[in-house]
Amino acid sequence: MERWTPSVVGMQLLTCPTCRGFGFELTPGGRHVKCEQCQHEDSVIGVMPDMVLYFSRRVNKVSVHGRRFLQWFHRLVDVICLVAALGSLGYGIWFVVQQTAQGQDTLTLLITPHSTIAWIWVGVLLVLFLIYRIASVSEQLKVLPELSIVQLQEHRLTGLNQWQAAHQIKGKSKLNLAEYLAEDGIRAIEDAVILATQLKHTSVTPVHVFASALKSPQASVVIGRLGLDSTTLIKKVASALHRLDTKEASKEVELSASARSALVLAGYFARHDKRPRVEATQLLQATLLQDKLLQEVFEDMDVDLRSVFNTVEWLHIQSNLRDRFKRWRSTRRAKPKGIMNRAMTARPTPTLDSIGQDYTQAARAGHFAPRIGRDKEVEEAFRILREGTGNVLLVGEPGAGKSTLLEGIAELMTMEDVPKALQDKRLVVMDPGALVAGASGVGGLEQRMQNVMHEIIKAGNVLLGIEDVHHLLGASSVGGSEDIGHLFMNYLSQGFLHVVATTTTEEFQKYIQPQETFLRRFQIVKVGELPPEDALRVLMGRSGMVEYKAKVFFSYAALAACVDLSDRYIKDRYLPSKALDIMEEAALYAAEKRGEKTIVTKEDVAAVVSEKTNVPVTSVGAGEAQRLLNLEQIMHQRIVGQDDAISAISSAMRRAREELRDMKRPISSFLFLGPTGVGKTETAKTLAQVYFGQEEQMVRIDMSEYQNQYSLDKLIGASGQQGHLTEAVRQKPFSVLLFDEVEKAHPDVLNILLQLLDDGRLTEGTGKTIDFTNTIVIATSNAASAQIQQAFSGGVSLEELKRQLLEQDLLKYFRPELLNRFDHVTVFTPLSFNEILEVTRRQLQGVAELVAKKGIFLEFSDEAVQDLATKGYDPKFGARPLRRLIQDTVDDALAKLLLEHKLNRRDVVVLQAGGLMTIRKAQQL
Amino acid sequence: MFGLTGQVIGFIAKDIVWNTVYFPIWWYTRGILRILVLMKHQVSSLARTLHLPTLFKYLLKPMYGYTDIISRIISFYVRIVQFIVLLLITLVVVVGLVVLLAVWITAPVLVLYGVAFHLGWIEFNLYALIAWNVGLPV
Repeated sequence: MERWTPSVVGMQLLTCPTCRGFGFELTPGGRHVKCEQCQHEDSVIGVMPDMVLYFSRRVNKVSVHGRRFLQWFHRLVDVICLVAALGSLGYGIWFVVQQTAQGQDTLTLLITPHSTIAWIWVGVLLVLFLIYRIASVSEQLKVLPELSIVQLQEHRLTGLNQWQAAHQIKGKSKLNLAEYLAEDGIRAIEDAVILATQLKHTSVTPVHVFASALKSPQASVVIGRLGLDSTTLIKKVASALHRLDTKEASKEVELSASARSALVLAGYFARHDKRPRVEATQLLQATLLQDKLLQEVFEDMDVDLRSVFNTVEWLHIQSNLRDRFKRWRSTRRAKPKGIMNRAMTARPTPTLDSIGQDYTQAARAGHFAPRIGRDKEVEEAFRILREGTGNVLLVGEPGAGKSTLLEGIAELMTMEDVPKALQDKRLVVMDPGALVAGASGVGGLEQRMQNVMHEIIKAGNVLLGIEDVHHLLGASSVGGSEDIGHLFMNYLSQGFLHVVATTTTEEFQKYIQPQETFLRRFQIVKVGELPPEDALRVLMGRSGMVEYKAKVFFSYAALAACVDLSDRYIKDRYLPSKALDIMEEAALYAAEKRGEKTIVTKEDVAAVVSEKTNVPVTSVGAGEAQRLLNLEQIMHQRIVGQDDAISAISSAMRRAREELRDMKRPISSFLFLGPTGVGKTETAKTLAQVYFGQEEQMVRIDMSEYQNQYSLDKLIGASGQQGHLTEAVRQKPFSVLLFDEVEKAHPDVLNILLQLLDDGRLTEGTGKTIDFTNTIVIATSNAASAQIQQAFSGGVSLEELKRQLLEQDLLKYFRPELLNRFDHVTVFTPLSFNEILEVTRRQLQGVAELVAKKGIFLEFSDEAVQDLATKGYDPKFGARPLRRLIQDTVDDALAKLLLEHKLNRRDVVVLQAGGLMTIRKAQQL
Repeated sequence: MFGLTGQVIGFIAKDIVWNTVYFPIWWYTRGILRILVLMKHQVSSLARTLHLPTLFKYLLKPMYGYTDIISRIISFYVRIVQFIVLLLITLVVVVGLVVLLAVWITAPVLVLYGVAFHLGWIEFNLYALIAWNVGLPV
């Protein structure tokens, strides 16, 4: 798999050709002199579409201590000023109070010159000075110019000397990042210099900056969210530091070219993530990206680059949400409470209020979770609504976020951050179910609908939301002549209504698309399923609330697993809703299991998904690992012989469990060949039991029922219908899929099998795509049984036989491309007499277990086993006649004895050769 | 050793001198600018809260959707009264902000005068003049 690297589209890193980005040249005497060309100013330049970034600040031991001393000194001066101001004011006021108490007039006292009263004014002067100090310090903090998405496109300087071209840019388009560092950013760089000096390293590398940035509180949050042990990480970084070259103690250390590049990259990340200044977290990102050794450290701890970048983004999302919350809190008060608009032109809407919910009021009260992403869809909806006569129809899969989009629109309306046409309006979302419920009598529903429409038109301040608008189509009251959908359509065509409606893709195709006149009133905004990376962002935004409710903390891996596992294993629902549900359940699961204030791990999420789907998705524990390693023995407890098949299946399952497989195809696929009664179906059942936990997790399709060309419709459904296979797999997406006697199926059916094995999905007659990537496909066939029998009696080796079958015999039944699609073609050998003996023993054991439930013991002698095996053995039909024989002789005889009351509890029945049964009576109690 | 002490004293001296010189300059340049920005924010936030532009826009539109002539007349008068009341509130706030600006501009001068007057460096009694002008018994 390709290694993930963050996109730095929109920035080109250029280095000074003379000093290669270092900023200094080395004299023959080993001294650093400023590079003649870049003058140690912009030795590394990051070219962005709107400006160029560089880092120029001499950071050395003296400057570090100087800045920190000044910082300390400033704080000291502030404290002195404050104390002096309070002292002066206090002294002056105390004097005035005392004099007034002695009978002096206060006003006269204040306007008469008196040196003690001057202290009051000195105090006021000091207060003014303090105001100046605090305000002017905050002014020194520069904010990075914002970067819009439009600007963020591939941008490259061309020409031979690109650095020279960037170097010559002057003025506001050239940004020295040293002036845009947040306090933790400056500290990280300064600490890196001190660290490199202390360790006597030749220069400050990204590793030094990284190690120093790790100390910031933000970095601790990132490390915590990544689930890393900070001590181990620090140890590993320290060991990476000790691998760097050292120098003579006297020389001063400078930033290396790669460290400078990292600083410029950090500037890029800060602008990209819309941060005001370059913080320690961006330094972490940039240094990590710049240094392969650091990447190795993280990979050693099972954390990849993407996880680190996503975790930093998680912090930013949460901080942006906090900002947005503050903004919402300050602006929402301006939105009127209740139904009246600010212009006071609205009218009450009692009918609408009784069947709908005022989303703007709910948003004002803070009932909705914040909307994350979907900016494009909101923008599109607003563009349509701005037109004045446009109505929006949000079409998407259930759970893709249509309702959240409505809530988001309401939130923006509360803040009045909407087009003019929507300002001073409220969004009322009507429930078609509530409209129908409670409407009684002939024409009652139509009357109600009309009332609602009249109220909305008269009020003039309502943006109408309708969830599941398809319910309106075709609804009419008993005896009512008009469909309310048509009624609604008439109002829409008059242009007095503004509507945002939602419907699912399926209902849209089924009910709305055929109604062209209805559809014409709307403009469609597609709300597609969120891609996993966007769904992850939604989870990041919502995690805070879930953490607060369940009193737990999410690790990044847990959050990523919510998206990843739900995407892979929950196929009948859509992102982000299915991942959000898993997140909430995992939080409760972890809280229940380990109590409050615990960390929700990837394993908790996997356990929740496993519980829901019956698929083993938790990482392989010690017990399970042992079980997987001994899978052959476990399967042999049920299957006699067939070592080749069992070993192939076991290996495939081990690979599948460790996810060393193509995730876009079925877990594994087998073609079982061999005569009847040798254990093919039994193996499939055993596999369902071993891998999916129960034998019932098997879908069995008898292919002899699909012999003609119309069978295909039966299998995957004719147009608009469900198929046997697709419906069965939709209900049991995690199962063993057994195609019995596959050679008997019609070639068209086999072609479908080809697609299934190749793509891991089929499209049903209803248009739904059914996922097969979590099934184990097993096709069994008796084709070429005679050849297999012959080859075995002729002593042909298994390998030779397989080759012969694949190259000659099977081609009469199957197309070569189908044979090639199976992961394994396995030949089940005819059972030898010894194996039949073992099968007999196991089957008798089975009967013994059955009677043991009635308190009766069944014993059988070796002779009895031998006798039954001999009688039941038929090389043509394998072990199948044996089962019948045991039924006819042993089971029947036992049933008779039981019915005749000859057997009581604790009696022992002994089966002997020839089907003879003797009873050893138990002692009476 | 002496060099480092010298450097530290240099740092401190430079800082004190710079701050003393820059304080009045800042007060009358960037400081005033900040007050003006603050005034602008406050006024626009007030306008948003009181919805003055909306009110003005709908001055002639009848309230609560009643469109008969009597309702129109009542609406108009109610809106006028409402408009005047809200305008007064706005005015009070604006006056308050203007006073703040005036205080900002005059504060350093008044404070320095206060110190100098009470220390006896200036004989002219501005306080007495103001008190006399506003009719206080001095």
